Amino acid sequence: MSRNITQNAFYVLELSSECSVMDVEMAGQKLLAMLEIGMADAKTYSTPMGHQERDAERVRAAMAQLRDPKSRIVHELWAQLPAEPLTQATEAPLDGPWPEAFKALGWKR
Amino acid sequence: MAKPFYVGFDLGTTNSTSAIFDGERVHSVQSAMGGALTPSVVRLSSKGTPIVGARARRFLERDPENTQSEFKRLMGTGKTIHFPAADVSKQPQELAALVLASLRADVEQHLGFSIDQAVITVPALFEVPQSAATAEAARLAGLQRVELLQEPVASALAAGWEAESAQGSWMVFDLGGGTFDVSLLESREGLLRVVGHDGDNFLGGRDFDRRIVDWCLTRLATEEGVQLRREDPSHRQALRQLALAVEEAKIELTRVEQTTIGGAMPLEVDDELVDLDITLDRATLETLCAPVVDRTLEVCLRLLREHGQRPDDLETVVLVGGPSVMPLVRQRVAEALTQPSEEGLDPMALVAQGAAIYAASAGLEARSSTRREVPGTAREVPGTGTGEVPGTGFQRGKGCDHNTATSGKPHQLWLQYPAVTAVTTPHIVGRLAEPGAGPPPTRLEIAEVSDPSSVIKVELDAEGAFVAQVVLKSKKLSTFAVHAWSAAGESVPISPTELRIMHGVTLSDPPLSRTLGVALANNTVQTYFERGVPLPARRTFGHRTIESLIPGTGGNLDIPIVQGEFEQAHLCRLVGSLRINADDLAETLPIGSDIEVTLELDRGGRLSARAHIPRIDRVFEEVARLLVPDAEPETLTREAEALQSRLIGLQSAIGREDQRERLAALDRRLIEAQLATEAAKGGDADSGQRARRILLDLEAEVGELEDLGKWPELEAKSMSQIATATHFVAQFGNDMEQRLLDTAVSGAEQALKGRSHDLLRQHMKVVRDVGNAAFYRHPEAWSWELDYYASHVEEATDPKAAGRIIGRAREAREQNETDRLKSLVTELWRLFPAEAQQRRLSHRSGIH
Amino acid sequence: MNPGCLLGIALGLLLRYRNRRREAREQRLVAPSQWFTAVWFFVGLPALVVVSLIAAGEAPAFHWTYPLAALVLFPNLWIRLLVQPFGAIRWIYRFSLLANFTWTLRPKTGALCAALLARMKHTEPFGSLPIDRWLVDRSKPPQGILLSTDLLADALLSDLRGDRRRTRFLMETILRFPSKACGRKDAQLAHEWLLLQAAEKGHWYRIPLIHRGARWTRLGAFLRQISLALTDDGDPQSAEHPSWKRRARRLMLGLTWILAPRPWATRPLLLRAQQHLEPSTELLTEAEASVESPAHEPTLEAMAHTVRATDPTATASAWRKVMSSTDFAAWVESRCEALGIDPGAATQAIYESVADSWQELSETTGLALDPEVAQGWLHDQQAHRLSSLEESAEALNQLGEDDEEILEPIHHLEAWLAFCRRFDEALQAGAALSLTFYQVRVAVWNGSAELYNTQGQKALAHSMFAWLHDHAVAIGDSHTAEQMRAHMKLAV
Repeated sequence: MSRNITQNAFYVLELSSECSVMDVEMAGQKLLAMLEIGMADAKTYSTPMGHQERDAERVRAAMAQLRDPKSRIVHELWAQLPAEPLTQATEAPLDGPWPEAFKALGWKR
Repeated sequence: MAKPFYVGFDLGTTNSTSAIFDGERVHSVQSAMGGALTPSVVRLSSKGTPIVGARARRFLERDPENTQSEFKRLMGTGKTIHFPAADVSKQPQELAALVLASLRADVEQHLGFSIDQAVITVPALFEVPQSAATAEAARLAGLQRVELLQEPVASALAAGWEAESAQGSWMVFDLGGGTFDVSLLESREGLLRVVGHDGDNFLGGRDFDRRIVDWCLTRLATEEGVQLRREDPSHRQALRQLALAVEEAKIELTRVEQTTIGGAMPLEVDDELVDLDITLDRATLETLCAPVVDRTLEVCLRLLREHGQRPDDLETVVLVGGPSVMPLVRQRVAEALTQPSEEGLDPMALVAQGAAIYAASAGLEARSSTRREVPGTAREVPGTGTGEVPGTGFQRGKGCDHNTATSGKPHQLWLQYPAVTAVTTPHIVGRLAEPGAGPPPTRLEIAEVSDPSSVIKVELDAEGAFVAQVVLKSKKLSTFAVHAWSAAGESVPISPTELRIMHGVTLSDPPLSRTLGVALANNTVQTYFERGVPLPARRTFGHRTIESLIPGTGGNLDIPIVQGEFEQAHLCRLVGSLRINADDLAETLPIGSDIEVTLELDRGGRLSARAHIPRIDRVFEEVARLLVPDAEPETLTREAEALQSRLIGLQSAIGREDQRERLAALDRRLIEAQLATEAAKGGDADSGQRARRILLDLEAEVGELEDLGKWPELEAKSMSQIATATHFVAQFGNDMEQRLLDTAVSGAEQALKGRSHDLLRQHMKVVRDVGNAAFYRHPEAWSWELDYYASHVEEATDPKAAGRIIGRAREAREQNETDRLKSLVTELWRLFPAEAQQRRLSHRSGIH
Repeated sequence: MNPGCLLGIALGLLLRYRNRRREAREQRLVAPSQWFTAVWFFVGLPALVVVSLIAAGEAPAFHWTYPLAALVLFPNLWIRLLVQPFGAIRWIYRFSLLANFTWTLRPKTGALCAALLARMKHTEPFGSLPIDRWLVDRSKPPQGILLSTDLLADALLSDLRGDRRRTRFLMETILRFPSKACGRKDAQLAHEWLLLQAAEKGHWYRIPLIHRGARWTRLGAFLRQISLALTDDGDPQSAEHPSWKRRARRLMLGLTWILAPRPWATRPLLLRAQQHLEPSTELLTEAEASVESPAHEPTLEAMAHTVRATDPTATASAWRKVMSSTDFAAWVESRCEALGIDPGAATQAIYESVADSWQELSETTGLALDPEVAQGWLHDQQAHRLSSLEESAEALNQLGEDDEEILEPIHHLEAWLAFCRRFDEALQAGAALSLTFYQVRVAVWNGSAELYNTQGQKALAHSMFAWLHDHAVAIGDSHTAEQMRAHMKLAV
């Protein structure tokens, strides 16, 4: 799993790569507050590699990364795909992993 | 609703200050003796009664043994300070606690109520143990909850608050009595970001004083014939008197062109009284102090370089700290960087003011205990005191309730909103935390009290939560009233009913000043937090134990936590150690057991650490050692001598001009360390710490130069080995060996190009092994090998036996019995231990 | 109940028990076998019963004798049939302990393996956390010569803890154990586990390589066919690929699938393999292709590779294409201007982030990154990994330093597992297999020799010889392979 995608600051803060510095602060503050009072909406976010869990630490890190222009450009590059899981066919290539291997043979996992 | 107040303390090396922020304005607090400054001086009377601040300072000259200053520099070192009159010893943090308690009393006097929450500043380059000691001082001073904030961040916040439209890059140049901090900041649309820090924990106004004192000592020796020596403990008091007189003269010279250094009492030197009367003019002062100022500027330029900026990029420089008021400092800063800010900022008060503003954005209201309970409610909202949500700068719900008297118990709301923010349209997030009397609220109305038309209506969702966006008055405090309505449209009593948000500056998470990690057994460091990561931060890494721990043996396993920018652990500062005692275990922990180590840093740099051992499912959290290492003068002297001989060795080895210059600079630093070590011998523990730091930095730089010095030699040796191996493999090697050699040679070439020692060593090992394998296929190889041993027969462990085997081997050679020759030479190897070891590393197998 | 029957069972058990005791006393390794028991059950016991009945003048009646003898002489049968279905892990352990007392050198470890296997495969226990803790409490460091059962217990416990890597190294070591020191079931289980792990991670190319020590299994045959279908040399969809070969492969797939255990559960895999033999679809989906991006197609392709997490080398090539495109350079320049930063520093930061993602991908997939593609950025990491590897190898080498001292078996095992881990990491960091192997060959050789000669750990030493042999074969070093084959013939 590439952290550049799963922990991309734009996906974490649910912002587009064109957003302003003030948008970052506003979104970050809102998400931190939502997480603090335990709102379900704030607990996950979507990325091309599937849904990820969000916590305050990740939000703060994302805010710090987008405040710094040098790291922001890196996040911009990696936020080019829409923030939703890619199609099933793409997620599971034919010669890719078989995650159910153990379960299929009766192993409890 | 009573007005909230926020308090900040600047616990300085020489002076301390406090400030109060009321949500709109910030101002310094006067001490009981008048003036904003409280000298960081503590005196203990013979009965053990403490006297703090200006009153204690008066005794510095008269009774230096029982009056202590500058103990901040010993925080976290484990040293104790003895007061002979009361015959008690105190730790530096206990003395700092007395100063904090005095500041706290001044603030309480000013506000009229007691305070128990505040923000205290620490230098940005404070090491972890020093921050821990500061937190301990706050606890001893009776503060229930404190946050630590880096000093440059505080001054930047205060300066940013004052500046109406600060934009772009700017610098905070904080020259204190004992420390120098510089911070590069960036301000955009009211958002303040600390780009980076640098500084020197052992550079400050005291270095000006030290240079002037040295100059005075020379004058006294040449003109009066008086020999005052730092390394002589009996001269300590006279030196202290001289230092005080020098400090006064220095301050006076910021206003006048010339003054006299003289004390109220004569100096007592070797049982003789010497009157002090030396004339000092500003030009001499500036000549003496210029090198120190230049060093501060070097640090500033280094910081700019590190972040790819030039002095021209700076909008302004904010000067902070007493010594920065010297005209020389202002002038040199203007020349080397950019024009310092002229906005009438008080350099002595800025840090405390910033701390007070930060207390507001962190929701650390001064009188937490009296306001924790919301009037009219039986108990607090579950899990929600007033105060900050860690790391968010968000307030939890609080306020008064005018509905309670008439409508019974109100519905309790849990609100989250920033107390201070640069965002003009922040969010208020909340949920219904505890039901009250009557129907539950389904809709809220939030309106700015001075503008009733600005009503925002929000529906509570299925979870009873809501998110609302409000508009703030620019650069002002906005007060919002909250009303609730039931599904039937009736007004519902809720609490709180009011909240305040100030439109100002938002401070981003402060960056970590030094890289923090865990030292590994191979003398490398596993980095946990890189310098610059935003705080707070937490990280876990997996490790494995390298020895078994057996209960009942008294053994233990240390996990050293180190701070510094070096890859080798011994060059970094040890700041703490997690310890696992074998006797605490119920069963043996075998070698190679997994161990998960978690390090956590809070916003002010306070460290906590834990080790989890999954195999036995135990957690160890005891940080056994949270101290800056000791700096014993004897050890320091030995280290300095060793470094000196290495530097001498380097002088003959290094040819390049730029490296020679670097070497000369190292030499100067070494002399500085030696002088500090001398002072440490006279009982100056602070100088000991300073010497330790310099020697540690020198160790790293010398190591680097030595590596560079050895490189040509290493390069030549490698090339020769490659040539030999290539020759033999081409003649006697097989295809596989040829491929292998090609890969290794190309790897070695890359390593040579990238000057990577480790990688070169790895590849050269393969080159040698493959080369050796091919070499022994040469028809003459065993014969050459025999000749080699025959000429070194005296080095054998048993020369007689070796002689016999050599004789038999020669016979075998003459009779062309190659196999017998081979086996006899193999027998010889066993009699040459060093060679045997080499063989063992290449082709020896233990099975026959 | 016939006294002859009781006598027969008792005699069988006694002989078995005496044999085991002697083996244990002499630290001799005898391949665990049911031959003796089977012969006794089918020949010795009936003969004894018949003779005793004839002597007593009664007609032979076996209706009591055989069920009882089956239960006593084949204890695992009734544990599996009568205890396991109830999920009572603790009882499985206790009964296995009783049963194994006569049957194996390591009754406790064997019982623990049975309980662990039941916990992880056969039953759903009540309240897994206390049970797991209870099982962990039963494990003790091995004593004496290391046997496959010791390693299997450690492996299953590691798996239970979620340490799949350690489990893998242990299972691989078991498969390389000499057959005398390796129980047939242990080898079978290790084989099954390694096959499933390779399948779980999508390492289809590894499947045919997992075979040593294990006999033909239905699962192994099926997964081998799957592996052939999914990792076919050359593009299976290519028009040049002969259709008869595809049909033959389909047929074999179908056959082995029907024979394989749990065919319904493995059906999705069968369909995947069959689909893989069909003509392919486009690389990018419509949704992906429509997205605007800094360097258009190349970036999307590189992103898609990263998201799919399949082949690090292909991903690295795709990113290199992105980084060298002019569109990309233009995008970086315009963004740097807007953000007020230096394009050089930004490019460097982007390059590092891309390099990090290759590294992550390499770790996730377990596939090494081709150093030719990765070039310079690997330098430092490689040096670090190789130096860690060298330390672990040196630890193995030093097993022979103190000739007199006999160390705890766990010490050897941990040193070996630590080495396996470092070797794996070095390869993942992009080091060439041949180079890495030659860095450590001598150390492993010395260490294994020491284990064999001085420390008496012959089975583990054999496993290390086998490791050296397999790797020597992989890089084409027939000389070393030959030497190792000779070592593997040494008495265990």
